[in-house]
Amino acid sequence: MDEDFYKRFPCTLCSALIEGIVKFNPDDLSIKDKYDDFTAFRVIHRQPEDDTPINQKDFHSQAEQIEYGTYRGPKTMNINDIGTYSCSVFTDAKDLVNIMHLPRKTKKMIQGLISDTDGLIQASGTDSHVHVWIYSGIDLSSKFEVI
Amino acid sequence: MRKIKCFCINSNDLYMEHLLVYMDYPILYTCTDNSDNRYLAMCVDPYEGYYILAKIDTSVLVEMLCGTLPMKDAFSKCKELYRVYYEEPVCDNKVQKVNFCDIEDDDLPESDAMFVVTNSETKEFIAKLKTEYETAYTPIQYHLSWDFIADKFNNLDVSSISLTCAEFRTAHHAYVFFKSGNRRSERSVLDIFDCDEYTEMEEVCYVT
Repeated sequence: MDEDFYKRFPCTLCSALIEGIVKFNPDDLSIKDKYDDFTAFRVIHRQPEDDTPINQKDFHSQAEQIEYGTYRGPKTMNINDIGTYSCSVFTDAKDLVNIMHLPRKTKKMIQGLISDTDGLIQASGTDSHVHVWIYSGIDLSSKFEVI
Repeated sequence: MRKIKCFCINSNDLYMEHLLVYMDYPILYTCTDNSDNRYLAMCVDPYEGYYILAKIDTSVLVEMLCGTLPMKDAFSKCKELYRVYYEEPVCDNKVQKVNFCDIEDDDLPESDAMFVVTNSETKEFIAKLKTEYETAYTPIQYHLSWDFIADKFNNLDVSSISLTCAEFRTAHHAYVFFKSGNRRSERSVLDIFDCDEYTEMEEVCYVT
């Protein structure tokens, strides 16, 4: 894969790809760039009394949240794991039931349609979790709504 | 597999064991220390790096994961609870030991909310915990002493109360037997004990 391909992604992932910190395994057929539109669910965080509408930051990956200081905590995955750079969505809202019962109670579930023009995807396989590596310049916020 | 160090409590390193709930980052998960103690870690505020950490008995964890004990009650049954502000390196974590009643309700799972298994990995994890637990413990029947019952239920028709658990303080339900009509009812242990009594439960029990 060449630098033009890497530049299709936002700077955090693009830099990691260029520097060789992570890579997309070309033999991994579960990573898809062509797929049918699908409905995705995600949970976004808001502080109490914060009514900020859905925005691009709500789709940041763990790596981006660490970089921008919106997540402080243990890293589940190694920085060399491409999954650290994906945005998590679920295709079944039921898989988010636990998150909605955990603090803080100001979280919101959002729903929207993802298309293959939005990014690469990979289904986790054990539940309805899907990694989405959103392309640079794509803002999913207009496609999602709070449910 | 590389062990991921998550927290450090009083020089005791905790490593990630199993992810229970996650979005882009871990929200609810178990950790273990080098002495095989198990902890339940819950991210309360990802911006502040604020976590609640509970040293948890495997039996309580299994009940929570099987959906028979609300997540909030699982935290209430833990002997050691910590409020942690995450720092890197993890040895710089700001750790404060707290009592359950010191934790704000907003910082805990919703009352009565049960954990729901949503993936096959967690199903396998529960099976592993059950095997581990059943190998290590044999449930024992504990009976509450008559003095305690008389003091608590002096106006009621209670003849005896028994609890079944592997260790003291890990029972969640008690069977209450009534003098009249040979009736039996199941009650939450927390309906019978207040917090102090429950931690001192050993003093009001005998084993058969």
